[in-house]
Amino acid sequence: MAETVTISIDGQSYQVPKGANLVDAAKLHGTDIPVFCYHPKMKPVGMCRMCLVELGSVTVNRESGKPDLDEHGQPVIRWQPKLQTACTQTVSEGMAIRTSTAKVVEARDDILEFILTSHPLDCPICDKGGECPLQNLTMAYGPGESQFLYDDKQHLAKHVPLGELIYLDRERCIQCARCTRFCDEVVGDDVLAFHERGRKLQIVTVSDPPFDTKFSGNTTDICPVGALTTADFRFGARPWELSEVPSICPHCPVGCNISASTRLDRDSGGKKVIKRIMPRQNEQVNEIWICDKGRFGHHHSLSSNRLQTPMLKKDGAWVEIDWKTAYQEVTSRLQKYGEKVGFLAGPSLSNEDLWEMRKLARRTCRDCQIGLWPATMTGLEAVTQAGVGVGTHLAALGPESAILVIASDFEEEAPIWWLQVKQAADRGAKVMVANARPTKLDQYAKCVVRYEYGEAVEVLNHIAVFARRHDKLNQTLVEGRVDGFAELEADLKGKRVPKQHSEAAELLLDTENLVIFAGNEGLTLAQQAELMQAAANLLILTGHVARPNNGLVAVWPGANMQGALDLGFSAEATVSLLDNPPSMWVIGDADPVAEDARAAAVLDQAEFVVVSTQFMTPTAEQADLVLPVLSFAEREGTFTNAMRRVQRFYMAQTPLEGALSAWKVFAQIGSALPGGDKPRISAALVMRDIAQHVVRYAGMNYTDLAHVETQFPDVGGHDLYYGGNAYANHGGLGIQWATNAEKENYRLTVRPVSAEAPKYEDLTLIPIRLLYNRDVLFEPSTVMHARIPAPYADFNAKDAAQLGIIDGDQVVISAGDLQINVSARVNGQAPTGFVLLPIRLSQLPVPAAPAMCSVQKVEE
Amino acid sequence: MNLVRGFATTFKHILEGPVTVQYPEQERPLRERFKGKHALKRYDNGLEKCIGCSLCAAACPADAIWVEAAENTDEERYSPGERYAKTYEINMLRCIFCGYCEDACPTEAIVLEHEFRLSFNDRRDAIYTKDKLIDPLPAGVEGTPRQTEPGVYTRSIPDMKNPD
Amino acid sequence: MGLTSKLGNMGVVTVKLEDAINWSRTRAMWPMLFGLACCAIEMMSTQAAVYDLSRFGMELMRPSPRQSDLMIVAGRVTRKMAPVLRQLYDQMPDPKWVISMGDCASCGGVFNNYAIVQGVDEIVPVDVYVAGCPPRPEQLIHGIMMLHERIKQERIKDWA
Repeated sequence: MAETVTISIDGQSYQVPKGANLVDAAKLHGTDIPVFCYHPKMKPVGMCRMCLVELGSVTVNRESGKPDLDEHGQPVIRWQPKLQTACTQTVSEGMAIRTSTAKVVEARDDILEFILTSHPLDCPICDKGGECPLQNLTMAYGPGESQFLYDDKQHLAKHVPLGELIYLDRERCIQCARCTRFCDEVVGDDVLAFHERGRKLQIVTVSDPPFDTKFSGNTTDICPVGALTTADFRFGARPWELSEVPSICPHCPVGCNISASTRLDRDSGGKKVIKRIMPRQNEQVNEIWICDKGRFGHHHSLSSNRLQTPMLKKDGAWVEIDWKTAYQEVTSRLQKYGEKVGFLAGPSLSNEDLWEMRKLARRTCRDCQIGLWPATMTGLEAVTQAGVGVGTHLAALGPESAILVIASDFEEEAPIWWLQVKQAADRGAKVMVANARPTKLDQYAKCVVRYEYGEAVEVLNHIAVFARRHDKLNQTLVEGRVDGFAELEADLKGKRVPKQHSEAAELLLDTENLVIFAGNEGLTLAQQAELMQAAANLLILTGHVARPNNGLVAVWPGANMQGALDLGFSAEATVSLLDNPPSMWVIGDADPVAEDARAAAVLDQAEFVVVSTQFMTPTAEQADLVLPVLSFAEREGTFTNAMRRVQRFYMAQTPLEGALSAWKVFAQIGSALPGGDKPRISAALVMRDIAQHVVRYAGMNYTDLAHVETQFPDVGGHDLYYGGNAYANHGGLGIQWATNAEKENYRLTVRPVSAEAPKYEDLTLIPIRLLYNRDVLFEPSTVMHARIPAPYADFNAKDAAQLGIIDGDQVVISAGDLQINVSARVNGQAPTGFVLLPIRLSQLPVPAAPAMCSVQKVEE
Repeated sequence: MNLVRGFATTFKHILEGPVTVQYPEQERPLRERFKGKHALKRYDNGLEKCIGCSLCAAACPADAIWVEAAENTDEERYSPGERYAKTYEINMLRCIFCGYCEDACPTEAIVLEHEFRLSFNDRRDAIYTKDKLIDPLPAGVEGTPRQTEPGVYTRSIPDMKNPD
Repeated sequence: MGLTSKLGNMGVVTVKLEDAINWSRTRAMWPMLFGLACCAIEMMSTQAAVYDLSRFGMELMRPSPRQSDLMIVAGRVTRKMAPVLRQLYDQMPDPKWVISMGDCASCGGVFNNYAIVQGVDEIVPVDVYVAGCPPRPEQLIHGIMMLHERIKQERIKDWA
């Protein structure tokens, strides 16, 4: 709390942060001012009038400029004749409020009586009942009975679908506009609106398809009544019957903190199951929002298709075996193949799993390759040097900050960051988007740079050139701690900067803070590595490192890619494994066969393939031994998000019988190898091993990871007037590991990067990532199926005309040996000469990197 | 003297008949408010009164009640309104027959009746499921789930009046 | 009971041995006095004049386990009481039966906590559970009748 002002609440003086909202400031010191429409994450509107207080200010003597004093030496306060809404007030020096006088109490009572005129008394069946702000505040401040005639109550539709995910109960709505404001202000999707006026006022969706936003579930959380409910949870359980288990979303690199609301369930055989997923407050990660993928994408862990016994393929048929035999099978094979074993880890294994897998690999042979899947992104070195500073807080970025998003369709790849960057832009942060095609963030960007696919690195290089030329380098840092500057300078010297890039550079470098988000769209692995280095170069040279709100973030394609990289897994190792295929593969929770035709061919040639998996994926089908493992909800562990924050998740659901944690499986296999030690008995002890052996994780342990501090604004408190009882964070805020730049005694290295862009002459296929896809962890959530598009490819109008394709045509795209059947979309997304093909919209592989392709229309 | 008074009482009662109730052949009448086994009630039209709100479970001091709710549709309607009890179970061995569930019920769906012969050879038999608890259908009325006209049963508590 | 008189009225009845044994067992069952809490009051009432368990041959509530063959666990059993209960059960001569009277003895009842045994079937085999908090005398008698029915089903060949 930097600057404070003194205000008086009910005659007591308090220091509160300057510029804070009066409601938040009062709550900070334990005075509840009840609200319905106000929400600390949104602008106040003063619609519900619930927060009425008596407001006064100190009278100042015009001549002396000092406050008037009464006979007791206290400043004289001039009270305003009418009550004021507290939510629309910003605290100022000398402000005085009274929150519990008879006048205020009566006003609250009256307001509640008005709000309840037509509110139905169906709390017993309402999903919000039990965690409902209206219920709570009525009990605390409301009238015991109403003067209005009961028979005059309006009866409105109770089951209005706003899209297939959210249902509206018109009777319950108290017209606070939190949901519409959330969509307008926070998300920027114009999908909900008020219709009609007065008593007829109602919420309608104005988009097609209805309620078309990736954040729709959040409206049900912030709704202060039960007017908005999700299709997934509707009538699933009463809030007081749910127990909240802190967890981490396993779907994307943001690492949103979630609460899994669990309850015993008859249909699942009396197991404890997840009934709903709610956001958990972590201001530095996801604030209090989560996307619909995280909210509704948890069903994989209850799927009936989960594997429950280890299975061995004998003569082409699966035979169920017990764990002991399975371990023996693997150990004997590992000893047999020795040097010729390759390891491959998937994107959502926990750090503990990865560590045990790595230990197993090291025990098998000294230099077994440990690869990472998907092998599309790399750049640990760049992140280690110039990653975002510890304590980075996207939700606080304002006009002093610049954010560059390069080669990433942010909304699809990391929705919550998109949301935060969009809000930062609204607050005045200078957002720059560099991509070869338009993305949704463009409309909020101060500056949009369009390049040709493959030229992303050049953009960053040009900005570095500009920085050098315009004296924007941080000389103390460069001279004091940076190696390789001379070579880089020589490389940058004399480069011409196109006007578009210099404008962008001027915009970016003119600010105090700079965060770069780097993706991999349209880049090969090698180019992506160069992009990461170029970003690190730029950040180091300009001194945008080692401070909060400065540095590089990679938009990894999985929830725990950062953790995997930290623990020694790499995409380069995967490439080398594919180039020199080993005889035996150990694959952890990855599905290369479904994603990459080349990997499929290589695995087909292998002599023995072991896969640990939750489902019978195409990879598992092609394997010789499958080992069933537990989902994120059924065990403990840690994920490291792309901002390097190590976060704990806890066991929410009764573990599936027969399956084990992946780390346990690897540890058991490893213990039977020569030199193997006894498996650890808990994930916490594996973390202790990691902390001992991995410098980045030094000093981390489960206790510290579970540490929680009070966060501001306080939305999870006892009063519940921001809705939901799952916001409260009891699971820990996580710990970010520090970059080398932040450690004084580390030197930083920059090096010239090759910006050579391949010339794409023929039609080129660019794989892109979509949020809603048929990923093995997301597909079982049937509630989301309507949002997953059928396989399609985006064509440029010019290309489409040349090929004779119109929107909606079925086409066959041939790239190398692959034949991909998709429907064509011609909507101006794709740049000329490129076809955009979303990955994982079917179980058939598509190229993982840009590839030449030819397109054939399928005649009906 | 006290001795005489004591014996007087004894001799007075000697002449009275035996007081023994020959249970099970003969039963003492139960009081009106006796609380025995629960029953889930139906409306006259055969729809279930229970809306699966779990308030009985919340009120239950012994945690004897387990409710899981689901959503009614007009194709498959169990109760009026949107919500019905998909699972309703009472563990008779946990239940202390206090009647709090009856008090908590907003639709007067659960009522403690006069059946008290509740002995079991197996603890599992003591869990009474919804089909054991629910009242039989009134004569000539279609059972649940049933198909209904859309827009008719929109209120969970059909004849709700101003709670004076 | 299966009393048969196939040979006509000769003043002799024939009966299967196991039926005779089961009959004698049910008609002279001596319950052990094992009142632990409120249920014990109802148990006493069952024994008293109005309900008069003697009608079923249960003349005495034996305070001594060696002379009883039915244990009526009446009341909540604390973890501390559990070994005592088991010892008394072990001291009873075979054949022996257990009625768990009331909610607390049967499953812990309202006392779902660490101090109370969640059902005496954790420590002794229970034949009949009687619901109620506490069960009224009729309910206990119903439980006893149920136990009688159960004993009547016993077969010699299952004894061993």
